[in-house]
Amino acid sequence: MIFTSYWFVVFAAIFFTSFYLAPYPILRYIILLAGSIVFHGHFAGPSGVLPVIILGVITYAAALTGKKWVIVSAIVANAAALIFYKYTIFLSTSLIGIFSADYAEMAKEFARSRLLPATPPLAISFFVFEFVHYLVDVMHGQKTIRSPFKFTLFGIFWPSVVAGPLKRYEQFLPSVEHAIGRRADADDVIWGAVRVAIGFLKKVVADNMTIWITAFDAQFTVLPVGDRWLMFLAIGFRILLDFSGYSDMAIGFARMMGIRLPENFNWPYIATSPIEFWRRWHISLSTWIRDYIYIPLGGGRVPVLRRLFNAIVAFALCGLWHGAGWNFAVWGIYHGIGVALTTALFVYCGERFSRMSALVRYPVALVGWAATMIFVFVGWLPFFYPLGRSMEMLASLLSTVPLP
Amino acid sequence: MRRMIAFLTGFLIGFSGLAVTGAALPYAIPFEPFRRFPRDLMPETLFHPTAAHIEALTLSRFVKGRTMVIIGGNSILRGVGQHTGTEWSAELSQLLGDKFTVLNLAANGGWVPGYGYTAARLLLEQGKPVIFIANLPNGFRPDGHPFYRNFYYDALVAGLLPRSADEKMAPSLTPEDQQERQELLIRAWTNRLFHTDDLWTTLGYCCFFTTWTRLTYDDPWMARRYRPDSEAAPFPHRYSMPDADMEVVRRIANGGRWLAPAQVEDLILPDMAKKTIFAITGESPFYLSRLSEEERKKMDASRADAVTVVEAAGAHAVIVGKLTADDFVDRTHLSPSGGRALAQAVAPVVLRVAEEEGYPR
Repeated sequence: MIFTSYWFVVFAAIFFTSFYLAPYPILRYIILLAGSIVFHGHFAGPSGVLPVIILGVITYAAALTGKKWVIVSAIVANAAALIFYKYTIFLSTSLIGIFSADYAEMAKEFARSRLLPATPPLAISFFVFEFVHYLVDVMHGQKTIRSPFKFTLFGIFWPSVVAGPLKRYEQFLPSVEHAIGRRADADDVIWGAVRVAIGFLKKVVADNMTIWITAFDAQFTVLPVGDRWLMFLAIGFRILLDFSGYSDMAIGFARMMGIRLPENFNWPYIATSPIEFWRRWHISLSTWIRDYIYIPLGGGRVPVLRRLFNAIVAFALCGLWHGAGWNFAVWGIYHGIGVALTTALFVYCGERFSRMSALVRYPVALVGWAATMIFVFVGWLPFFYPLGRSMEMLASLLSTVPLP
Repeated sequence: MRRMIAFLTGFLIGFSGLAVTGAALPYAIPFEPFRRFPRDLMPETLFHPTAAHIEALTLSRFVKGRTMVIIGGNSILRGVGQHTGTEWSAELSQLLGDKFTVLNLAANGGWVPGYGYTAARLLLEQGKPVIFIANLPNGFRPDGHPFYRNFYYDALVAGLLPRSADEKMAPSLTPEDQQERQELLIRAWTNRLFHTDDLWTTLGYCCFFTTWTRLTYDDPWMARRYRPDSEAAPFPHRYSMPDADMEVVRRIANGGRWLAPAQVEDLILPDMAKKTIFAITGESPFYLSRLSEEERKKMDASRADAVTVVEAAGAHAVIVGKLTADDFVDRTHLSPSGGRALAQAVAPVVLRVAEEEGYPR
């Protein structure tokens, strides 16, 4: 975790001191840009920086041309880079594996040893999604970022560079300009510092849960039934605390400079339906998926069945965005189905529900909440474990005796 | 602006207060009572003593007019297999008499430049009479098992460990290991300047612990000083993994020399060498008897080679011979009877070194 590393502590101390002491906006701007370059360079390393520079230059230049075919080509280049770095092994083993396991293994080895770096460039999924958002918006008539420095800052703004939240340049750049144009505001600094502290506390709790889960998850099915349920709940809370803690810290650090980043989590575990869950969970990603996948596929303008199909496709892609593996795709499709079914339910019962008296509506909402939580927590099993294993774990939750 | 200044002033005062508290706490609350490192004060339970804790413990134990015998090394010298009250270091203390203070700072998975060596160098640099006992676990980088790297860099930055081994190692590390080393060095400097780890670890010792671990699952948040002794009862497992252990013995027998001469020279500086004793206990006869004649010869040769390397560096080596299968609890750890044999083999060498150095004895 980058924000809890000692390198980062030193970086943050130097960065914020110089940022707050800088008397002129241009100086603060240079410090912010230099800080972002140092941060990304340190954690990504040369092999991680180069692909991002290339993608950044392509994206920046393509948008400046204003020509649709150039912009579309740049979008394709971004998507191709993401597929190459993140999914080459997955695709080669999955597709070639249909015909021959040996050839699949050979392809995997070839990709590992000859084609790919040891790890994909740091946060490539985030870069690509932000660049695609920029290109699509420019293609739809939004204004371009003419300054290469501003574009660089949009690309590698250090608080959000590793794990988001995914930014929208139309909101981000005005916020940067506003923040840099004035001295730091005490309210922003205090609010930001408190948010960082909350995020850090969440990380500490999540890391403890991780140690506990890692120590026992191999024996999940033979644990006493109470412990199985406890771990089942811990798996769900761990990811919430870990991810939202990171987002809190990113938002907090940005706010300490006076810059607003979009919120990423809004109490997702109080959602009363899968649709509401996705309005509260990883908000910057779900809105990206909505705006750049679901709506272009037809959004709410198409018939119900097509709409449901689109939701499943969008969520399958969302699942694969989280990692290159069938379990992530299954997790995405699972949520897609959940959202599709809830959509259908709302289409047919929504009006009736809104006409219900509060006395009926609240118990129904409570049932909705319980069902949603079961749905979401069960979903975390294939997210974290291979499919077969997650099925075993799920079955063992319903059994009072240890499974063999 | 006024609110900003108030906020930053508050932050600075709070931070400085914590740093000062961190600097003082390890000396105000040293690890006491202390016979050897209990499991719950070692990194295997995520408890990481800092150089300041070792310094505080060592200085609190030092008595003027006595020679300090400090034991370093790994679980063999810590006395795994010997329950509390039967540790070999207690036996050694009795054999040496009241002119010696024995302090066992060996640790499970420990290595030469660990807690014991740091303590010995501290006393040596203060001109105090000290003899250091260690053993020769093989296969580690100079900065030791990953568990102990926090401590290694902390002691290195505090100037308590020789830099030469680290300087030689650094260029040969992979980029990932370089990054890890850099991170640990920053952590060590942060602790040196602001006593962050000193504070947090002492709070973990005296007040509350913040990390769950499998070994402390029954009450992970309990302050470590109040945790029960996990070695109060006799060692429960005797030769419990014969096949796996036999495989390790075979690997050692066929693995060539134990350590390169340069390793000892880098780790044990010349001023320390003459005051250092390496105790070599070897493997249990339970397994040695199952080796082929050729493998046994290889094992003997590598042991003899280790002695040559140690002596060439100016240090002393003791091979603890005539140990039976009953003197071990497993492949390599000594039972209480084995511990007694170890103490009886080491004590005369300690007395000889003390005489050579003109120490109280």
